[in-house]
Amino acid sequence: MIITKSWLSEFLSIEDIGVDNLCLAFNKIGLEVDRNIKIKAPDGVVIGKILECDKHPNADKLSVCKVDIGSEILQIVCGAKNVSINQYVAIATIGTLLPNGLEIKPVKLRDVDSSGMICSLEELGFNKIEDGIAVLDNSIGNLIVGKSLNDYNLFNDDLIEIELTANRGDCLSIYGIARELSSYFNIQLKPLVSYEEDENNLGIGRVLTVSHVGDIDSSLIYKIINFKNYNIPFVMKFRISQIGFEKISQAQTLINYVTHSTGVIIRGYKFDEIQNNSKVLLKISKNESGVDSIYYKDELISMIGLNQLKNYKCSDLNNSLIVFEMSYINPEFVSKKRFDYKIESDEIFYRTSRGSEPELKIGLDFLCNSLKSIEGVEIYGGTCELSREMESSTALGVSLSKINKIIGFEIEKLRVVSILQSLQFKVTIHSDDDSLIIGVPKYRHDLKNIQDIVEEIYRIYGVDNIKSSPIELIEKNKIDSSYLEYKKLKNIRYKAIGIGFYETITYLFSSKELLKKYQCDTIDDKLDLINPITHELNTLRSTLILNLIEAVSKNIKLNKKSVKFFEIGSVYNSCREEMKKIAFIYSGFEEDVSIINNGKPESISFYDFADKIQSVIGKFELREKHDMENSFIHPYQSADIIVNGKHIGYISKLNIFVQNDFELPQTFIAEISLDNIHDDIKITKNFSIYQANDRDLSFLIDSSMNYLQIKNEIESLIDNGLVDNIKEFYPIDIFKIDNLKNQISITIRFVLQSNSKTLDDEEINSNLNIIVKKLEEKFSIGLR
Amino acid sequence: MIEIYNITNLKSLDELRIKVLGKKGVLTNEFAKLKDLNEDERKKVAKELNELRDEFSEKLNLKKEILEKKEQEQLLQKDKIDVTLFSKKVELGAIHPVNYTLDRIVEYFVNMNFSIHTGPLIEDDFHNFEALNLPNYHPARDMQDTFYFKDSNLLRTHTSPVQIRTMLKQKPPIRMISPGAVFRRDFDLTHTPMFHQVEALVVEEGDKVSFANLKYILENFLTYMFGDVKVRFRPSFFPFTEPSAEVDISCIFCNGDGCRVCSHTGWLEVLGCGLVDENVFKAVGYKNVSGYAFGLGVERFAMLIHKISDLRSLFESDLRLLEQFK
Repeated sequence: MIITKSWLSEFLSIEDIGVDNLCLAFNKIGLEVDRNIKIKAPDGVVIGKILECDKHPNADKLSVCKVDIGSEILQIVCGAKNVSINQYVAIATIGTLLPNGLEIKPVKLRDVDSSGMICSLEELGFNKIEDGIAVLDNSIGNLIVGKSLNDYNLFNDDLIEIELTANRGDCLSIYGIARELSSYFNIQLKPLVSYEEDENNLGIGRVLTVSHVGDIDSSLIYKIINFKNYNIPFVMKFRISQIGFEKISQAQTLINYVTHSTGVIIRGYKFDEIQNNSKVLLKISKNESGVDSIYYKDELISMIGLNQLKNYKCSDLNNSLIVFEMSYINPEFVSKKRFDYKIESDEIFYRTSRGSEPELKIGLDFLCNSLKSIEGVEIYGGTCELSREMESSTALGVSLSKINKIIGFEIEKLRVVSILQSLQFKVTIHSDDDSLIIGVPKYRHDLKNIQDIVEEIYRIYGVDNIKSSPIELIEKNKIDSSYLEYKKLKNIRYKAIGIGFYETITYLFSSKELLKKYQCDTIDDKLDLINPITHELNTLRSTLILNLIEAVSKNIKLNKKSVKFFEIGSVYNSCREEMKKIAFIYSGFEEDVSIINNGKPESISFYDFADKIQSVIGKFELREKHDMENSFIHPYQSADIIVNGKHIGYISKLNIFVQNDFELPQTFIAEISLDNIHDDIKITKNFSIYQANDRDLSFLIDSSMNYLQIKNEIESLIDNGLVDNIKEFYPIDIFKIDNLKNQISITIRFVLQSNSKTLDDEEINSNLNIIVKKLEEKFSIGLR
Repeated sequence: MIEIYNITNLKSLDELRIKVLGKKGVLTNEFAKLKDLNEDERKKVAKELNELRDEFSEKLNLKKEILEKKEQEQLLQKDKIDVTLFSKKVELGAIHPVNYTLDRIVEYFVNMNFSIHTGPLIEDDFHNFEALNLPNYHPARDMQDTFYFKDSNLLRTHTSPVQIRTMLKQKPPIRMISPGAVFRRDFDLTHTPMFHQVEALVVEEGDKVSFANLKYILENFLTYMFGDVKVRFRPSFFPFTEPSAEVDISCIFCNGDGCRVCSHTGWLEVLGCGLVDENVFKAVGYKNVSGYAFGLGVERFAMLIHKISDLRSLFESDLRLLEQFK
C-alpha cells in the first residue's frame, strides 16, 4: 500500500508531522513501513507558460517556444510532440541540475538559441504518465508562472510504502490510513464532504433500472455520469503513476484514484444502448455458485467482488454515459466462493478478499465531488441502490480485568476507553465497572473476539510500553526421547567434525531422472510432487549420497584436493515413508598439501574410511555386500554395516563409473540409518594387572575365503571355553604370494593375558595351537 | 686451577677431577704427605690444603654445571625447526552454520525448560493450515508458496504443525520448541525452497500466560543470541496468533544508525510472535487455556550473526564458506 504525505493531508492535517515521526507511528501501530522515499522536483525548475510555439526553421521535429517564467520570457527549443501554446509547463532554467545528471546550459539547436528546457516527468525524476512534456493544470495548486515547482506539495512530497497484513483491508486506502493515524496522533479526521445533487440534472431513472431476484449478499450503489469533454486532472494522473499504475485508460485512472483514496470498490460499465438514451436494465441475482452477479440482457457481465466481463468495461470516458457501480461484499464470503468454485478473479479481488470500505457513500461522494462543476461532465441525479439487510455492527462484551490479564500489564480503564473511542469504537461501560460493550465499526470485519480487541488496545498503547515479566513455572523434567535423540545426533555430528568431515545441508529435493539413472529408489509417481520448483529438484531424495556426490563435485571443480562431507537428513522410499539417515563422503587425499605431509598427502583405503566411520557411529562389523541397492556402490569394495546383528547401512568405494561421471578422484561413501545407532551407557569389565603378550600368526588361506569365516571360528572356540586368555585378535597384514596362485597370507595378532597371573610361553602356545589345529581341520589352512 | 677455565667438555673435566682428587691425584698425594710433617706444620699445611681442595671442588662443580647446561642445550638445539613454516592442516571439519545456529538456539530453550518436539516434513492440510486458523480460502494462503503432492499432502511450510500434533497428544501445560526444515516454493536471491525454523509454544491452564511473558522471554533470548541489542515489538498479523507482533532488533551492523543491511531503518526484523489464537485452541480441543507462540528463521539468524551475505550459499556445500566455521 503506497501513500504520499500530500495525499494523506487531504484527509488529515499532518503537515506539521515529520516523515520520520509518521514512519515511527506506522511501525508502532502495526503498519510496517517497507520504504520511505523523498519525492522532490530539482531546484531551478519553475512553472512556465508557453506564449508562442512555432515550428523550428531548420528541423521538422522541433518547436521554438516563447515561455513566460515570470521574471523573463525565454526562448526554448522543444522536441516534444505534445507541446502547444498556452500550456503551463515545468521549465528547467539555466544552471538546473536534473536527476539524470544533465546540467541545463544555454545552447544553440540547429542555429536557434535555447535557454532552458521544457521537462517531461521522467526528466524531473518522476514516474512517466504519458509521452512528451508534462502539461500541468491547477489541480496541483494555483499556477503561478515563475514559482518553483518544488514549492508545490505534490512535487515536494514523501512516499511511504506500507506492507499491510492480510487482515487489514480497511487500510487499503488513503482514508483508511488517515483513520489509523487520527487515532494514534489524536487528530480529528477532516470531515468528508457530502455531494449535493444538482436538481437541474437529468435523473438516473431515465436511463437505468436495477432490479434484483432473490436475496443478495452485497451492497450496491449505481450512479450515472455523462462525460462530454473531460480531462483527467494532472494530480490524479500523477498520483496514479506514483502508486505504480502505468498506461491505464482514463476510466481506470479515475476509478483507481477514487478507490485508492477511499477504499470503496468501483466498477465502470459502458452500454451502447444507453448512449442513444434508451433505458438499460440490469438484473442482479445469484449465479450457480451463489455469488451476486450482474446480468445485462441475460448475459453475465460481472460478479461482485470477483470479476467483470471485458465487453462492457469502460476505458475512454469522453462522449460516453458511464454507469458507475460501488459495491461491498463480505470478504470471507467472497474468498470462500472463489476457492470453492475456482472462480477467476481480477485485481479487485485483492481488496474485496481483505475487506473493502463498506460505507459506499464515501466513494460516491468522492467521485461526484471530483467531477462536479466541471464543464463537459454531467452527473445524473439520484442513485440506484440495493443492499442486503445491513448487519448490525458487531458488539463485543469484554471484561477489563481479562484484557489486562491477557496483556499481563495494567492499563487503566480510562486509557482503554479512550483508545477504543479514538478507533471509532462505540464503548459502553457496564454498571459492574469491569465489563465493556464494544461496538466495532463495520469496516473492521477482522475483529471478532477479546483477543482482537486486546490487539487494538496494545498497538495504540504501544507494545514498548508494556513491561515484560517472566512466567512462573512448575518444575517439570524435559529430558524425553526427542531430547535424547537430539543429543545423540549432536554427539555424532561433533565426532564427525573431529575427524575432519564437514557437515553440510542439502535440499530435500533431488532429480528423479538422476536417481533412476543410478538405480536408486524413487517415490512412486502417484505420490510425487505436483509443483516442483525446477526440473533438477523434481522429487524428494531417496538417498543422501547423490546430493553429497554433487556437493563434492562442485568443490573438486573449485580445485579442492580433499573433500569430506557428512549430512544428517530425511530420505524417502518409494512409498514416501520418511527415514532419517546419516551419510558420509570422502573424496581425494587424506588432507591438503602441507608442510606436515611434505607436499605428498596420502590417499586412504577402504579400511581407513571404515575406521573413520566407526569412530563416529560406534563399533560395527562389516559383511560382504550382495545386493547392490544403487549403482554408486562398488560391487567389489563394499560392505553392509552390522550393529548388534542388524543391518543398518552400507559402506563402499564409489563405483568407478560414477566417479568418472562426476569427474571425482577416488571416493568413498557410506549411508547409515540412524534408528539403530544408540548412545548406550558403557559397562566396564575388570582388567588384568598382569602383562599382556602379543603373538602374530600368519596363515596361508584361499583367496576366495574371507576373514569373517576365520574370525567366527576363533570366536566360537573362545565362547565355548576351548581356549582362554585371548583378550583380542585382529588382522594386521595381508599379502599375495607371487608363486602361489589363489593363495594369500594373512597375519593375525593375538593378545593374550590372564586375570590371575603372568602367562608363560607354554600356556600361550597351547592356546594358540588349539586355534591353529581347529582352523586346519575346518578350512585346511595352515601356518605359513 | 686455571685448567678448569680451559676445559670445554664434561669428559675432560672429569679427567681433571681424577687427576687432582682421584686416588693418585695431585692433592690426594699432598694430603698423604701430611703424615711426614710435624704437628704445627701439619696443621698449617692441612688447613691450606683443605682450603685449596674446597676451592677446587667448588670451581669444578660450578664448571660442571655450566658444561652440563651447555650439553643439554646442544642436544635440544638439534631439534630446532622453523616454527613459522606452520601452515594449515587442521584435520577438523566444521558444523554447518545453520546447524551451529540451531544448536545455540536449542541450547537456550532447553535451559529455559522447553522440551524439543519434531514432526514429519510431509504434512496434511489440517495440521499445516486448517488447525492453524488458515482455512483454504484465506488470503494469507497462496497455492504458489506450497509444495503439493499428488495425494494432496504437502511439504510443511512452517514448523507450526508440530505444535498442533503436540497439543493433540498432550494436555497443558506445554512448553516446547520445534526446530526443523520447512519448505516454500520460492527460489531467488533471498529465498530458498528449503530453510529452517524454530517455533516455540507455551500453553498453560487458565489465563496464566500473558503478552508480557512473551515479551520477557524474547527480549532475553534475543540478547542471548545477538548481544547487547535493543528489541522492539511491532503489532502485526498472523492467522494463528492474536494479538501478534513482529520483533525487530537494533541493527547489529550499524548499531541502529541506518545502513544498507537494515535498509536505513536502524532495525532488523528477526521473528514473529503472538498469543495463540483461540481458533487454534478450538481446533485441538483445548478449553480455558492461554498461551504464546513465536517462530524464527534459522538462516536469517545465522546470516546476521556470522555476516553471511548470500542465503543460497548456505545450501551449496561450498567449502570456501564452510571451512570458515572450523
